[in-house]
Amino acid sequence: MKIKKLFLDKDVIPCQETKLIQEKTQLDFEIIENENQIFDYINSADDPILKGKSCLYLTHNKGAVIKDCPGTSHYTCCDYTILHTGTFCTMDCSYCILQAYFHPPLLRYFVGKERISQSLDSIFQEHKNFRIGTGEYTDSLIWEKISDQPSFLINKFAGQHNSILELKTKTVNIDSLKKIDHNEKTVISWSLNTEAVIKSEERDTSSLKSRFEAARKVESWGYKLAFHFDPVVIYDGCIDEYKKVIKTIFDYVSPDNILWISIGSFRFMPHLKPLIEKRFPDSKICYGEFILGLDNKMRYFKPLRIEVYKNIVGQIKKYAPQVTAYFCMEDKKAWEESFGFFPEPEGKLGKILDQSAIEHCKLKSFL
Amino acid sequence: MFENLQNININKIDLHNSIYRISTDNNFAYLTESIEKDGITTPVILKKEDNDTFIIVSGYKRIASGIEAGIKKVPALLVCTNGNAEEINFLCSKLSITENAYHRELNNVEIGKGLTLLKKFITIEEIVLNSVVFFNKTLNKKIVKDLLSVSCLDNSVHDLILSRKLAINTILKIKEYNFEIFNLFINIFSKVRMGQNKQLEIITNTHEIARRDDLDLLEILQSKKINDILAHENNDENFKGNLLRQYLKKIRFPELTKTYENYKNYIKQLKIEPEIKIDPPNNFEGEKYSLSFQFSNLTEFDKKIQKLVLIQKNNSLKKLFK
Repeated sequence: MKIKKLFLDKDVIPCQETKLIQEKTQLDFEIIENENQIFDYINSADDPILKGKSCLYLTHNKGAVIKDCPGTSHYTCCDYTILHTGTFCTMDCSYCILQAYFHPPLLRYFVGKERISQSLDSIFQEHKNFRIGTGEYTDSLIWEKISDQPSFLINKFAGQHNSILELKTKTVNIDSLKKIDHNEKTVISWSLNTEAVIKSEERDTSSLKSRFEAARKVESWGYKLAFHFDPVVIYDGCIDEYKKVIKTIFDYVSPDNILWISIGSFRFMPHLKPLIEKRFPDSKICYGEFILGLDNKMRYFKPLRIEVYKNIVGQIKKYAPQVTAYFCMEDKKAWEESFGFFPEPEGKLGKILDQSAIEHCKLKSFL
Repeated sequence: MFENLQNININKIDLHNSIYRISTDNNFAYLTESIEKDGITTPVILKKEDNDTFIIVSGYKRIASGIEAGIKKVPALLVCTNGNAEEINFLCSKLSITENAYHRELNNVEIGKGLTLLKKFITIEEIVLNSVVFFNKTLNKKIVKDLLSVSCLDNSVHDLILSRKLAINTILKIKEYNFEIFNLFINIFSKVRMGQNKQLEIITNTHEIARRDDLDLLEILQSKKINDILAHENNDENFKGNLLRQYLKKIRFPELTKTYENYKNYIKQLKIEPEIKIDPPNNFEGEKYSLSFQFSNLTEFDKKIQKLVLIQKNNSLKKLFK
């Protein structure tokens, strides 16, 4: 989705970052006194979600810069830390929860490196290891072509020893990352899926092949890597296709440079379903065997999830037994039947991933 | 608003004109009996037409009953017809609604008919604003829109609503489909009995099976299996409804249904008496099973515990947890 309109919070007009983005986008801008002006603009469209993807709002982050990953009850979380740099996404995936998460969905870019810098400084002084990512409420690299935020963050993380930065993306926007002295403290990660799912559910994203090619490039620039199979979508023939994708990872990059591979099956808040049906009438993603999970999200019936998981985990172990793989938000049974163990007690999964980060990125260990 | 009270010859009244009729009650035997005894005590409301005949604004049942009772004249208030025709028609519409709404609670079909009358003259917003005045109850915009949308449907559909076989939300849902599919759903719901949630479940499951399997919805609704269920020799409409739900659920959620069926089989093999219940985690998602039993005294409690010990030794119990 191409940005057609730029909105500027009056408070960010003097900022250098704002000027750079204005210059790069070459778009006319509208100064905003009150956010409701943009909400009205978006909500007046037939498809406010699509409209929200076509305009960018530069503003300050008025909330917390660093947050704990919300996780959900009853399922095991990896204790991730979120660096809140913006909201929503220019790409348009049918399953994306952000469509239903923001009211209305609005592409916000948070100007203000000083505040990010100060928040990170406090994190870097802690005697604890952190895995910090910007890809929870947005894609980490959608603004790479018009903003210097990724390079700022990579440089910032390069100068410390307790945390890694994970930039999670479905784009191939990596050019500006090439010459940065990252000191191996940044992990570039890609969301992966099968060709069929990318084709039917991930509008405006990069092809699978180009994601792999980008991964190979950043690996050659010394970056560490991660991959996320989330959401795993269950359909006829999906197991073979996921296995194929996993095999292909190792055709492009070395398992030694992969910090982790996460796996999570498609799950959604019930109110996302009518949105998907309306916005993606050709998608069949909602018509799997979903049940209401313990966290009140719809999930695939457990035996179906486990069957696919076993095959995905088995394939990862076959090609790269040394790579840390894990489930995002799964329960004990899924873990035990797929991995043969369950990370207990609470917090153990986070420690396993911290250990991988320490080993791959030369962090000082606080475990 | 009205001219003087007059006695009008019934043969001057156009009995076929039901433009202002909103009442759905066609049972007026009790009224005929009362009219035979006391005559028509409450005047009907009529509007004079150009050809010296009258049309009924309010009192369709009283007039029909009066004819049955053999009376020749009815006491009537005549709507003043001097002035703007549209204003008079609007007045007649309001009178037809309020005459009913202030005597008894209107059902949804009647409200829908009343709304259709009003909609010719005022906007939905104005109806909402004055709903208490017109209908003696508050109506919000969504209800007004929904009932208007249902009001234009065939009388056979209205009959299903009135006999509580079809929920308004069900109709709104099936109205999203084309006429043929709409009618097939109507046919199904006319032959089974179930509440709104179960009707919506049937529509959703049918729709999703069609979408998932690239099937024509029409094909599913006309399938032999569904027709067999509807024509089942057991005429109990609740029974047929349950059969239909089970059938569709099995196709929509095959693995889940299979797991539940296996579970039930294992429970059967355990030969547990009905007072002891072992329930699986909801949708088999959680880890916890639940056990419950009833007893009224210590002796019964001991007996149940002994039965549980026997169940514990049964091999089928192990299969239950696989």
